[in-house]
Amino acid sequence: MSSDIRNFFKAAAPKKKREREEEGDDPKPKPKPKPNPSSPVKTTTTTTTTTRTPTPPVSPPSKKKKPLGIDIGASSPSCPPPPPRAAAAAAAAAASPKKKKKASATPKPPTPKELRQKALKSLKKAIDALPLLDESKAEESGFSLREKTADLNPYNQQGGAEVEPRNRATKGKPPRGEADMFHGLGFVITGALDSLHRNECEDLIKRHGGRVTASVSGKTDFLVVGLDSGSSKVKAAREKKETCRIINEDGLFALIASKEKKSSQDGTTGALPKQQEAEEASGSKPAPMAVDLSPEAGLLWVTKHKPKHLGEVVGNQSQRGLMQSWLRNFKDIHVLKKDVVVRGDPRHVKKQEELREKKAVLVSGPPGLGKTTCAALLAKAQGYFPIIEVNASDTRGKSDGDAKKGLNGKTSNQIRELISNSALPSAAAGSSSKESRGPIVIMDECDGMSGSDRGGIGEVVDCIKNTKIPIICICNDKYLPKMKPLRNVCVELDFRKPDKRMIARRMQQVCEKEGLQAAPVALETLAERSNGDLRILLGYLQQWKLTRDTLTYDDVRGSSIDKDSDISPFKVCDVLLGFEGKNYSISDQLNMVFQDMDLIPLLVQENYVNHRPQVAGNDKQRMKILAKAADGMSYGDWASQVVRGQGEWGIMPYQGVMGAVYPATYVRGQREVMNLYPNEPNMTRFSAWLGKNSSQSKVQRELREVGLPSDYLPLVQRRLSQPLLDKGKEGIDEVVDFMKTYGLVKEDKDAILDSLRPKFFKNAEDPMKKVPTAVKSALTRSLTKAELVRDWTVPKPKAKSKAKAKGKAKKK
Amino acid sequence: MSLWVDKHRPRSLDKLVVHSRQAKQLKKLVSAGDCPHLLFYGPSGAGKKTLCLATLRELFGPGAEKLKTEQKTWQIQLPTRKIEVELATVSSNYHLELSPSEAGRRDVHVVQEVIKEMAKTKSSNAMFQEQSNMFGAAKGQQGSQEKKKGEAPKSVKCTYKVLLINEVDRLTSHAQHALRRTMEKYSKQCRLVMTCTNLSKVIDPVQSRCVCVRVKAPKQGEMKSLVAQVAEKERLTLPETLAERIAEGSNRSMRRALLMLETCKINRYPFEENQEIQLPEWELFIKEIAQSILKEQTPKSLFQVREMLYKLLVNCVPADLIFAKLAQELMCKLDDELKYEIVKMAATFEHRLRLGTKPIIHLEAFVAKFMSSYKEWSIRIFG
Repeated sequence: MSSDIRNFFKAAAPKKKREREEEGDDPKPKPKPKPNPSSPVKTTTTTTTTTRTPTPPVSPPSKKKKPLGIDIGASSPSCPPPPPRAAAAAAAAAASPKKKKKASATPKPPTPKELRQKALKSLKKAIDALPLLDESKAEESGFSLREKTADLNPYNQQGGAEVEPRNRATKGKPPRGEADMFHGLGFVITGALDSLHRNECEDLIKRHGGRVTASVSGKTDFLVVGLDSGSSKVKAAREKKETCRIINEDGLFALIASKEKKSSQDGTTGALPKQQEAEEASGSKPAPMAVDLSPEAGLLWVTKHKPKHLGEVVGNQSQRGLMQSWLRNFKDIHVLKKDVVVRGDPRHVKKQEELREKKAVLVSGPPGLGKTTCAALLAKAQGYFPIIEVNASDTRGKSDGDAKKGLNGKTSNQIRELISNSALPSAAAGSSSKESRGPIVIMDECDGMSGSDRGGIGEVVDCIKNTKIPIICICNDKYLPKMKPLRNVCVELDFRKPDKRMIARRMQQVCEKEGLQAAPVALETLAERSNGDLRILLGYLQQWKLTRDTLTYDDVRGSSIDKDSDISPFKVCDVLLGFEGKNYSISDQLNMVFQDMDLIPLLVQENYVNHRPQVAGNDKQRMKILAKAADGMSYGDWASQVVRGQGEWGIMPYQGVMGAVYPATYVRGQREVMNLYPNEPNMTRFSAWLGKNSSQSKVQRELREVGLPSDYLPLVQRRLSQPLLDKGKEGIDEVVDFMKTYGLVKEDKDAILDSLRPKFFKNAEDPMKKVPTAVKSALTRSLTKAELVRDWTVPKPKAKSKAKAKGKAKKK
Repeated sequence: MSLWVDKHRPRSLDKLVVHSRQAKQLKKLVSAGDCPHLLFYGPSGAGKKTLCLATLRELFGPGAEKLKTEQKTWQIQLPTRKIEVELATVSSNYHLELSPSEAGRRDVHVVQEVIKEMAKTKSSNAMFQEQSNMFGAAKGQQGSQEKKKGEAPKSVKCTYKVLLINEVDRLTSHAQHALRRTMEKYSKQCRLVMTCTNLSKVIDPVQSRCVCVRVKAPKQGEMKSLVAQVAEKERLTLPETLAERIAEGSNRSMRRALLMLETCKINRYPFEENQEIQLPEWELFIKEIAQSILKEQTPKSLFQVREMLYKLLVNCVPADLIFAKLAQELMCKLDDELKYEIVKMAATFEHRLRLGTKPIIHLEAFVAKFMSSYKEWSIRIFG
């Protein structure tokens, strides 16, 4: 079944919980040395916003937080995460595996708070050793605040982010510490660092398991500062000085160096949760043996780890909940016509109403989210059987109304039979037991109906109107015009891509099962890149596992998933012209250009003016850079002619470099609007050249048809309009005469007076504007009468007149 | 009731006033009954076409003036695909006129297939004459009006047909090379008469196969007297100052001068001395572009200039004309120090334009480069 491949699922509930905690994005109390009374408050707020339920804290600092509602509410260790209404059943189902897991002696996993605590503890020595930074000694500490006035300079908006680090060449490579030393800690970077670019610093922190955010919050432990640091960030950090330390690059290096890989002075061994040890053990043992023996060997991970119950499905809980309640009440409402009060979240009242009225749902969302799996699981959980799944591999044309064949006819006939057969659902209607709710139809890939599936959508709509059993339709894009009729009869449920952290957590479970040791940061990065598509993600992980047993942040940093996939030309243009392009080598950039050798240079040409070149310091330099970029594109165009016109395909890379990469490298920077008109969108424009070129060829064609040199045209316009203006209807003969002389026909006249009239200036006046309508129509009449024809169309009217003659002859 | 430009065009070589010397030479050349390949070159409005047509008339008699305009489509089979080329042709019984440069980059196929095909086939009167051995008959008036299959006109003394090719300089070099062989191989049946504005853009081998006739633009004084003559023929009283101004504004292009004169007549008659002379709109527009370039050298202004240039291009103003005019306009208001640089820039990018495909890119590169230099200069001078 095709649907098998589509989905991923979560592991048992307890595991899930553990993963979350490892995420470590819950707030942690400040480092012990400086306890702060205000911190619990902060923690509370953050905890409430996240839906996570921390397990009861074990560490002393968490005791401080006890008075806070959330902690108490969730304090039972065995309590599963608060299941949304929809997942209630699933939670029950999940209960048993969870118990088993418990039995298998995994101790409570550490909460994020604990992780943070632990990390801070282990780094305590190093932290205490850090010097206090003083921005007044900028030279020494490499730390200074950006001046307020600097914010006003448009060429300095990037702050330190894009400045070349001062000591880039002189300073050695950054140290390498234990991979998880920063696990649970939050970092914010500001200003120009001493030797690292900002993204390099980010990588460095992520490599060690840390989290990098954009602004200082209660969860931030370190603010890494440099020259021209953002004053607001520093201020915020000073306000939170109990939780947040301000360090510079040297400080960061010192922290990492304190836990240099080999170093055994690890003060936290005792606190290291057993479970984590176990995890490491399982990660390091060779997985193949175990896997090979299992019956699942050789399966795609996508199939193997497909959710087996609802608890394992990632994301879209509210949509699932709605669908579940709809399924639960379907028979009562539509078959037994009971008046069912749908309980549920008041926020969804409107949807609930809709759900009560409609007999089908339309699930839509990008591929790889688990729509099909989810639908099937929900149906199963609600006791529907059999589940009939119709997807694009079946022919889904209109039913032919031939009922004789019954269930042996076309698929659509079968469905029609099924949905209208009152025997099936009503047989089960008597028993309210969950086990026998009757059949359900899942129409998968509804937007894939085309060609041979003539009348497919109409058929589905028709079915829905008459159905006695629930129908679930699934599609990727519900906004396609052909989906419109379906949307009218269905409740629309939009599946969205889950949060990258949720995906990463689920992936972590899979990786554990498969014996792939993956860093959470790495998985998050991958999740982000796969655009929420769990299917492609699992495929990638499986592929990775074939060669290696560990997946670190560095493995996924530069390359991977998106390299193989196509990016749109717009995206390429954005990347090339934006700061992002800096991270790609010239050959990578060229590869991107090669995705569409014709369009991308055009897009660059269209948009390069809009970017404020990062290398430019003032307007003069900016113009110079624009000139260089334009010069490059001029070369590129030449090269393109050599490639296409002379077939010198070897020149193509040169064309790509000169036409797109070279100019883009020069103007690379922030995009800005031109302020040409109000509310101008700040986005990549589509190339105007294509449109202009086609209108040019249109004008060219018309000119050719008219057959006059283009410099005659202004005068010809006058000759065509002036007599009418001067003499009214008496001028008509003159005009017709003139047209005859030059072999113009009515269409030519219209073209000359309208589309061939260059409208360079706004105040250009239509010469025919002042001609009275009566005169115009009189002219048209006399032109028809005059039967002006182009020389080369002579044969046609002849044929016509022959036909006329024939007609006349017949009449006679 | 044709336009004055056409109405007062000299029909025969004898009547030519401005290029009477060339006309005499041509007459001599043709009088022998044979004529080599001809290449007329000179600025637009100088009288190339007039000379061409007059020569044709000299060769074939008035029959060559019976013109038929046609939009022809040719299907050309290439090794890999089939392409369709559409061209406007003007033809008489004796000659065929076309502008292969209209086909753009496919002009080479036009030359290879279309022109060769035409050059290969003998003209119908040549066939006839071979049969009847009639040579050098006196000029007649009626024959030319007969259809092709009819009797041969008696007036014609030559056995070849003429291909009139406009704008040879705008052909790609490939196409021009393709022309070389055709000119030699089929010269028995077919002579080429070509026109171009820029001789340097015609490859040497083609030039050397032709008798090149330089048709220079009429002098200011000649222009003035010609304009006055036309006015006289139209029975208008033309104030001398206006005639002078027209001659001045016409850029020494006869065609433009007469178009201007007629426009003036429509705008206001009787003429006034200080009457406004309407310049072509695209020229005014380029002036405006030049102004906005000089006014502001910012990315925004560059972008706006791009839009304006697109407007010109969409209206089929040839890009090289835009280059020339724009450079000229910019230089009016420029310090001498910059002039040399600007001319060099314009030449560079115009060269690239000819090598490339998308005029806008090169125009914009020129504008960007100019803006950059000008900005630098003005900052240096004025601070």
